[in-house]
Amino acid sequence: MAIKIKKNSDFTYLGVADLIDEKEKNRADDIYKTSEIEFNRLNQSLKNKKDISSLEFWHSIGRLANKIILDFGISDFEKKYFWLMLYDFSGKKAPDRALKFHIQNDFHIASMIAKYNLKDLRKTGPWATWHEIIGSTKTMKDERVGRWAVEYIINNQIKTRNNVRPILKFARNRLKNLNTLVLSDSELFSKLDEIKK
Amino acid sequence: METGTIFKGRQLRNDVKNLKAIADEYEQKIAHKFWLAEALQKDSIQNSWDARINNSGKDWSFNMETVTSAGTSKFLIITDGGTKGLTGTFWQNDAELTNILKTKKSEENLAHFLTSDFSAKDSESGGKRGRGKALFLIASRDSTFYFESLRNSDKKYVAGKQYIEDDAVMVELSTNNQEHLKDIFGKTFKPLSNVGTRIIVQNPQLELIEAFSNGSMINFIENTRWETIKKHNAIIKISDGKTEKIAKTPKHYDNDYLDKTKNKNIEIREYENIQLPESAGGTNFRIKRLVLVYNPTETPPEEIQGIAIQRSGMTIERRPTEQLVKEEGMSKVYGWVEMDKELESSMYDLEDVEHLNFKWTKKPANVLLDIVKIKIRDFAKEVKLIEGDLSSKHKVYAEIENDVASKINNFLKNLGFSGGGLGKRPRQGKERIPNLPLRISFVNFITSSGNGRINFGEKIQAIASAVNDLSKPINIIQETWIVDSSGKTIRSQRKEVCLNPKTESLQGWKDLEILSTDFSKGDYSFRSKITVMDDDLDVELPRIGKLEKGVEIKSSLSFSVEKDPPSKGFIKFEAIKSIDKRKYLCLRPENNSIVIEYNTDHPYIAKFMPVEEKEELRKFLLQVGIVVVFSQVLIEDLSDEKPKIFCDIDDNIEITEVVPRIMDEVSKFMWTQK
Repeated sequence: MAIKIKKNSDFTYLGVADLIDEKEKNRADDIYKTSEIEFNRLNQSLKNKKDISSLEFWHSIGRLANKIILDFGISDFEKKYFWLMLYDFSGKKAPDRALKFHIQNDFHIASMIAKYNLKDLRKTGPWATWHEIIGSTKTMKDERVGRWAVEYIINNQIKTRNNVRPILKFARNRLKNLNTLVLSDSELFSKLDEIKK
Repeated sequence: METGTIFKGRQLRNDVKNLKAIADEYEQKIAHKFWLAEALQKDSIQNSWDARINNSGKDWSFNMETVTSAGTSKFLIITDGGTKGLTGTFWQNDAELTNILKTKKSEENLAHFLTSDFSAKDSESGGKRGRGKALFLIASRDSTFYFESLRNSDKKYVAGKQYIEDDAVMVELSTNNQEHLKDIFGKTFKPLSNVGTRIIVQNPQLELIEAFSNGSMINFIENTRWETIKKHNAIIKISDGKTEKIAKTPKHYDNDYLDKTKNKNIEIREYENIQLPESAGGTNFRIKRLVLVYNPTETPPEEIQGIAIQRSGMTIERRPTEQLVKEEGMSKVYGWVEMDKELESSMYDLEDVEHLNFKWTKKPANVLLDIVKIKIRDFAKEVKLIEGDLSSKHKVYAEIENDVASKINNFLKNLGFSGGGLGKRPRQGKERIPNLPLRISFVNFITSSGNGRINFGEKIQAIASAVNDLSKPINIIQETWIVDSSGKTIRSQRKEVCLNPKTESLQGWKDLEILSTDFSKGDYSFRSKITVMDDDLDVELPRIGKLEKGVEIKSSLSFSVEKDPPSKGFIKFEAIKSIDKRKYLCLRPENNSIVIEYNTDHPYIAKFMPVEEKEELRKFLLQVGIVVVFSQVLIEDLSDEKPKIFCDIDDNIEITEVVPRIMDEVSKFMWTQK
């Protein structure tokens, strides 16, 4: 299981094991080629669209990323490399924090918001607001935290960045010093739902 | 005044003198013949850009032109479009105006425009204390300007005039009368038909008119507003009545020039989202983008040279690169810094009212500048503009350098200076933090040297212990691992264990041989973590809080393979070689330290370089090092709200008293040396 990434104009395969066999390389090549074609096509069509908002742009990117993940059965472990790979087709360099700590990756954030209705997302705020909601370290390490935040915000019809910030602050403080990955869904959500008390 | 009468009223002021003082300040700071042109474009474009209707800059336009009317009188006309106009409440008397100003609402543009020293702007907008308006009066030889505005909010039209009479700034305002300016400028005058604002400066200063015709004005605009033009395709036009010019992105900031595939000579690095340390005074200060450019085949034009410090899309100032890194050829490196909103907001507080400089001695500006210096030096080394450090070639002196640095560092540590401007602030108080009853201990991490350096072939004991001093058993996941500086895991172990009261669980590698097949030369981190798997323990730990399922307790230590560990103290020494006569001892920041470079080619230092003179080198480094260090400590200490050593030095101190104060502290240190 591996993902192919461009590194200093050469390609490298990053995977679960240090040794990656030919079969895994072929699959990684396929993922790369398909993503390259599909993302270039999507970028082109989005460029031609007039007055497209950043939120709509990234929502479309996220939907395509999720489709490729599903089509190729990209595992949770491979995803962190997959998010980095997508920068190869964006013309932008991956930010240092995304490269080193696998957080604050625009494509990962886009994938998460693409699971929700664009109309609902728009009610809360633009891409920058959602980037802030999902881009925090805790949320990126455990997608369930992001999911909880998105659903809480949408369900409670919370609008504007200023109103969103106390919720993020609560989540950050409540989960401070906690490794949420060892918690079951109900354990995690019961801690986060303390916000209602 | 009769006995018992108390005068109550506004303090009288001489507006002409105030205007003169403002003009003098600009002139002194900009210091060239066309200072007024440079100041006027900076302020007026910024104000207009802040008032744009579309955030993206769509439909925004800005025109400046000089025109001659009836062959004699000249006017400077500044017109913007796609802006909100002079919005806000109308008033009938001074009391109403005062109340409007008191609200400090940003939409009260009209009230702010017609008064002085009031501004409702913050760092996201460019203005400060409303100085720009004064510039329109200064720009006129008759101290008179007219204005009209079609407001976007209610499509109402306002027009008027500001002028000087009896040493006071007078204001005339007319609302909803599109004929107002026609009465002054004649029937051919066409009032604004699109939303925006127009300023008409009567009889502009001669240098201002000259700046339009000789190209200075367009250059000032391009060099200040290039980021806005580049990112938003903003249209800024100027005309001297004969030729119209549209401001373009200067070549050196243009994407084509900066594209390595098109411009093979160029070296460019972009650093994004650089987090400033907490010592900068905030937890979330970031440099959004730092771009450094070097073209060995050319030196950039003087007006582009240096690192442009950008705020709100405009260049506030350029820091000369050769002053940031004092090496030959550095003026060929140029670039720019963009900041994120929080950092911009704090930097805004350190910006002068003319938008020309920052106070670089204060936080976070000094920390930002240190980071820029480090990145420029790294970049210059990468592109081979300057040589790498020579310490490795002078290994024989490494011991002396370390020894002297550690003496000075230990002394400074006792004074509360454990790291340079970029490090964490020293912990207040000297008492050791007590052990947590549930913790990780590294007492079983043992190396032969004990100083953190491990060479190939050496064996180490890398064992972490999870200790439970509580009175109840706790189920935990225990993980221990080694990572290199790129974050790659070299070794790892994981286990689930029930940690009984007053016991410990060991994890790691008893005889770990450091082989070149597994470890390359570099810095490593030995890390361990326990994750609590029980809920309802009913235990609270200091600094951790309630002990519940998921709580993590982490610890780490660092070691280096085939190299000395990075210096953690305030200073370190580094040998350099240069025939530049000005280079004797130089300072530069590096991560948590200040590096003192000593030039081994300098004739005075060169005589200490033979091995038999190494004790002389030791004395030399100690004596000069402590003086250099204390000048840096002075800067560091004074940038703090509560200085620890130089608390007696304030803004009123005579410059001649500073050096003796430094020497007092140096003397205390030298007293302790044998």
